[in-house]
Amino acid sequence: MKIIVILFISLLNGQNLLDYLSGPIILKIGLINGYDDNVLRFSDIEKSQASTDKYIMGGANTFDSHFTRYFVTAEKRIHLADRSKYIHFYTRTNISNYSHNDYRNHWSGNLKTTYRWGPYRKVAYSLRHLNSYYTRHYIDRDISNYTLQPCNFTDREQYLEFSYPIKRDQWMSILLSYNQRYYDIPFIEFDLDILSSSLKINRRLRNVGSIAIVLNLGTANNLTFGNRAKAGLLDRSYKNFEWYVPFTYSRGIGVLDKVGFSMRQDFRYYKAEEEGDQLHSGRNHIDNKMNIWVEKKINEKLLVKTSLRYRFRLTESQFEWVSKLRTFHQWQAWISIEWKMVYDRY
Amino acid sequence: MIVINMTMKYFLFILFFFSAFRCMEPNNENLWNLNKIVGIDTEGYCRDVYVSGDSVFVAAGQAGIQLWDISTITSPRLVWKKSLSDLGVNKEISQVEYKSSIRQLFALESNERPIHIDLSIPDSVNVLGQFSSEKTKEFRVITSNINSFTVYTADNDDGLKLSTFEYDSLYNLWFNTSGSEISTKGNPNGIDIFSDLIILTLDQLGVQAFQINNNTISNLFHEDLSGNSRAVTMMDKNEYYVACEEAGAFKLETNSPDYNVTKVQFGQDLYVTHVTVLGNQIVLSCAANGLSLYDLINKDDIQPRGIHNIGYVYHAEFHNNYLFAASREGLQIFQID
Repeated sequence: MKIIVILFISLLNGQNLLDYLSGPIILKIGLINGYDDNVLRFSDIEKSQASTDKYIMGGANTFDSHFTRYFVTAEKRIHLADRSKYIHFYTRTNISNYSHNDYRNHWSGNLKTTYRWGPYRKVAYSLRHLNSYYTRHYIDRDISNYTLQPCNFTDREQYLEFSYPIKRDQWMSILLSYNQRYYDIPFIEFDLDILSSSLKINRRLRNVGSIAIVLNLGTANNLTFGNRAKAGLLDRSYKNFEWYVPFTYSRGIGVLDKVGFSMRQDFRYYKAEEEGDQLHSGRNHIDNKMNIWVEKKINEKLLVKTSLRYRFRLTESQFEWVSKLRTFHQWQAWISIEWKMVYDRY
Repeated sequence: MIVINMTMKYFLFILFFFSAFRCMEPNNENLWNLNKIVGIDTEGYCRDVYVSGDSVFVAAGQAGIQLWDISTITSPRLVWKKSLSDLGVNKEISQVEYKSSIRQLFALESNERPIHIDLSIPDSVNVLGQFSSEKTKEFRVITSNINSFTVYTADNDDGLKLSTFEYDSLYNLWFNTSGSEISTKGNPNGIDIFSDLIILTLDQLGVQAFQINNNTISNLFHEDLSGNSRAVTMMDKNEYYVACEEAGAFKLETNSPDYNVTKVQFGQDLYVTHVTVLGNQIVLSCAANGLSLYDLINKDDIQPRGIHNIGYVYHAEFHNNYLFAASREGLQIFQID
């Protein structure tokens, strides 16, 4: 560890350490208030089943829930000897509470460090952690035929991003990601190692805003496939292709400073071909997400954002009942208020 | 002032973060693996298995009875087989039990009468005939010496039945010398014996225990259980397991002298037809759900260690740390990790 610290501070190019650290630290705290109309991602069929079998809701009384999320961010920029180059540190922690579904309460956070050596030129490393995120109750087939238990997973994603300009106002980013999605006991049969790569083309639209297109290819390896008991016999590995187009209009509309819109479509192809298992065999998902958001800066310190998202996940299967059982719609809306503080040590 | 290493200035901050945050380790669910050693095609459904040394006797359903040699466990060898017509019966064979001390084999024509087979003459299989009465669900054989044995049967319409046979060296024949019948509180489905204690399963009425005392059999206690009590496995005089079909399984403990029964129910949402135990390893035969493994943590705590969908399992037995599973898919031999 001592060696790492010495190597790290050696980046500071031999200047006095305090010179570098004397710049401002920007802190933001915020509160998000939101609504999710389908927390458990139930299909229409499952919603009608829940009227006679409430156990599938895991003790919740409603399909929807109000949620609040508290967050705090901190960022720090350290300029190197060549003032056009700097290292940027960013960290964010979220604590989420779901008023109508206690199982969904969780925390998450990320750390990101970026080395930037010119306009649109950067390399970044990010570490994201999502802690024990509840999906819904499932039957633990390893030990039971009927007993439902809460299914939670933890994500630890690391990615490396490289950005470089292509031409004026246009730059590209390449991103390599490694996400460990490990489930809590007793659902470790779902454990996945997800590798993905993305290509992002960004364009700044002068006097308008920005637009980008992202293409993402991923492969998830079900590392507990074939292990242990009954539930491990199903291979949950998959491949996916995703495209994503975000557009931001930053010239302002009325009282709003920015308006944004994005579309995302994810095609996921599962590997499972279990003979006699109609529910999982040859199943594909097409996950569609549309998002619209607006942003208003109240003053130098206060920022308000609001967003609306529609998600429609279509499940494709050769069996119609599987498709109906796993296809769902979801609406989410939230408003966020963010307070910026600057700690500057001269 | 801090002296720096100029050659590393552009990328070492990434190294710092990579070093500081390790990858996650997956959770461990503490389930047990079932490693398949070999599968034996028994032609008919494998309904029951009895292992004696390297000899494996198989109740092969409508394929009759088979004897397999497992001296090389990875490649079992069929020694002989007897079809239903060889045995002179019509229905499938549902149980086998071999007594090595007298070299006699016993089998059960399902829901009919036990069959007596003499294996005392090398390389010959002599079917001696059937005995006891119809609707026999299960039996146990107790040998008192090399010239005598008693068969205890769970007779579904008569209760507990005993048939004692003695060998007459003059005629070289086994004669049924005595028999008796003891009524039970319900219709027996299964039976097991340990020392002088007999326990019968009584379908919807739980279990009933009897004690053998100088050729007299007396009622000890009755205990009602959930579900349909099907098969009982005795570990000793005070501890036994009962397969209760749709109610799962029970571990029962009795306390002498008043025979108070303490119960632990497990596998409640499985359809259990038989229980076998080796040390802390408990294996439930769960019909279409295959085998379900449990860990006996202590006398009141039994934890699940995984359902293994190996086919439709009727019965399982431990022998030499191997698990022999009698299933519709044949006889399957496993080791538990």
